[in-house]
Amino acid sequence: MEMKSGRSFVRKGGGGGGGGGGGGYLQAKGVRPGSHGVSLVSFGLDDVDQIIGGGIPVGSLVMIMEDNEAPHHMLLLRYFMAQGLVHSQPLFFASPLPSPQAFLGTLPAIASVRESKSRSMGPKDSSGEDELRIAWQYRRYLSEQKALEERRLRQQELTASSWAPSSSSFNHASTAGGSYEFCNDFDMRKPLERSLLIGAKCESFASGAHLGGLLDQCKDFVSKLARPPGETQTVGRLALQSLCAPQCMQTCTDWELLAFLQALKGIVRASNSVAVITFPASLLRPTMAIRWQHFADILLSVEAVLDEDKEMAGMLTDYQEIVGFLRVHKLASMNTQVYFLLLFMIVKDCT
Amino acid sequence: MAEAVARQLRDGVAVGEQAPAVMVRDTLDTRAGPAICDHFFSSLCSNIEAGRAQAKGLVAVALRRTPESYTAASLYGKGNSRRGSWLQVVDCYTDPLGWNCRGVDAKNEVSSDRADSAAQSLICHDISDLTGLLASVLQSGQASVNKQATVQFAVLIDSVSVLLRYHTLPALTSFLSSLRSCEQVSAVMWLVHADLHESRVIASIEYLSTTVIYVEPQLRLLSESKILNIRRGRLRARTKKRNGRVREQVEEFHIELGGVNFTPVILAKDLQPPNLMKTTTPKVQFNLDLSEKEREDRSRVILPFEHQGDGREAHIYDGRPDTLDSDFEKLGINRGYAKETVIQNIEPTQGAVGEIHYLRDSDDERPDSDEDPDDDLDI
Repeated sequence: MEMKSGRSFVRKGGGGGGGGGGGGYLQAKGVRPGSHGVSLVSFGLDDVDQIIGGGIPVGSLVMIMEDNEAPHHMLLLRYFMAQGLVHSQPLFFASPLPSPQAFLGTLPAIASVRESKSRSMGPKDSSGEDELRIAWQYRRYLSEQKALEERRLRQQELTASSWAPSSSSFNHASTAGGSYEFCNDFDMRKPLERSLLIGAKCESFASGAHLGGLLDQCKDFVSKLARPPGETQTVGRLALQSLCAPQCMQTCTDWELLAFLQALKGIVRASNSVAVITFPASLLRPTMAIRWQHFADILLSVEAVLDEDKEMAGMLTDYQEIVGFLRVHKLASMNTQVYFLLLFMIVKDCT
Repeated sequence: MAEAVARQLRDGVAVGEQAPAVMVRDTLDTRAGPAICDHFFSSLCSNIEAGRAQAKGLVAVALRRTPESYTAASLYGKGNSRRGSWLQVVDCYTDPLGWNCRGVDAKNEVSSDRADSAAQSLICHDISDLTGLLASVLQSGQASVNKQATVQFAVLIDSVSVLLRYHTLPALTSFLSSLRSCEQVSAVMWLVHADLHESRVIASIEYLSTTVIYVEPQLRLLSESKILNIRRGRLRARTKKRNGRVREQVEEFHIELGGVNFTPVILAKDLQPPNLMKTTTPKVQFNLDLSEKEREDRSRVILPFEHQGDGREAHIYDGRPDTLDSDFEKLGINRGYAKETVIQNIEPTQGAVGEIHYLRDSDDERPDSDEDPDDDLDI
């Protein structure tokens, strides 16, 4: 390919080398290589993937601070879990709901192919020569660029593994088992197929969280993910919802929860798994809330939107469709010293 | 807005969801929280009596006042004498810590626990036992609907602040959430004094409620004497809607002898709502958009470049008197250029109002000096 020939050095530790931890990128379904030697897993939402730098690094802990008034964290959890199940990644879900299995029934299904294709179409190509009138000299460069893109796309679809990141076709990955999408489009109106729910294990702590037992279950789950080197690896997903909700706090103290978090972070980091924890930060003591936030590799928060807020309606053009805000506080900086901080993002509800 | 909240209490719970919970919170600046609570209590009572509400019974957990204040005639002096048996009171006011029973043997204790039939109230002697309190509430609820298992009742907890004196936050939140998830409970309402507790405690209780009513003093009277604040104030209600948005409404209230009057308040930001603009362009003196006719005219304007990329050369008026060309044009003869391009006769098209007047900087420039200046290099 043209791009590789220009490089003077080749990246080490790729391809069919040893999987899991250590040097190489993971070869697994639903995992793609990211920067700094980290493998990435999709969040389930294309926009969120782009915001957090391509995906969730394997071994990291994502924490989402809930809003007291809005249930948007459930929406994010739904996408996360559905993406994992679609890629047949094992899932462990713990929640204070009395029946987490019922929540699994609300996971979205993949949007039909026709709809997703129309969304992924690039910007309207300026067909016709009369698009550029003043800058007519650039017309010839436009057509050259289009030809270049198409050539690149075709080449990537032909090769077995994709190494070069390019914006338009990054989503499409192909492994030995056929091609699949790294991040699927989901349709909230349709439930996920029941057959895919087999890989999910649920736990409810409606009557109080017994942290010792919960930690043991997480350890069990994660140890089952380990595969001998040479085989295709699997990445597991852990989703813990509303961890410090009042129901959980009945049986454990603040400090015990912190110890649980520390142990969980260690487990997740040392294995091929990704954990998403949502917690209502305002229900914790301020000092505890800060400690929880420090545990996170990626820290997000959701905020509610006031209904019929005329000021906001005047400021935002699509106010009617927005249901909440997603704020990014911290991004993962694994294997790197560079630290990103984004301040404010708006999330549109696509349902 | 007060009617919206009253309607929420009246309509009760939908199938498969937890009961709606209305939380009234006030502070020392305005002591009107109990009055607002009473207002909603009496409106719920009238709805239940008239049969308009989903709940057919009401249980009042009296922690702050005597049970008679609930069962007696309407607090504002109108209506009939006593309320029917659909209203039951769990009396935690008379003897919450069991002082009256101390020293009495077990048999008497049991008998005094029985519901007092005349006063339709159930005395609770041990407020530090929340499971027992929950059981008493449910038992009173059953009594209020004449022991029909499918009929629902509403619950009013007069002051959660009193309960918080005896219980930790986790215990209380589990009590409130189990009350909400009980199938026979249609709606719950409670009162909290916000400045008595930590903000985390208030946040946890707000987490459990669907509507929070903030009772605040009127903005303009803060500097004046506090006496007036008892009668007047502001209500701010935040309701959690199903789609995840929060609805906030503000009203002013005025407590009178006959009841509480609510007057809607116009907020400053609503006085001049910004226009719903389609784009985020700022409002300026001149119109930045084009009308249809203007768009058409714009497309017809010939641009002053020699090459339009079409292979034609546009001959433009460049401010120089070119006598040779004008003579030739009069004769209708095309003068050939070195590049062998065709001169396009510029004729004003019908209805074109746009013209571009291009004056060259100096007369020394040759006509094609816009081209690449390296073109004439001959190496």
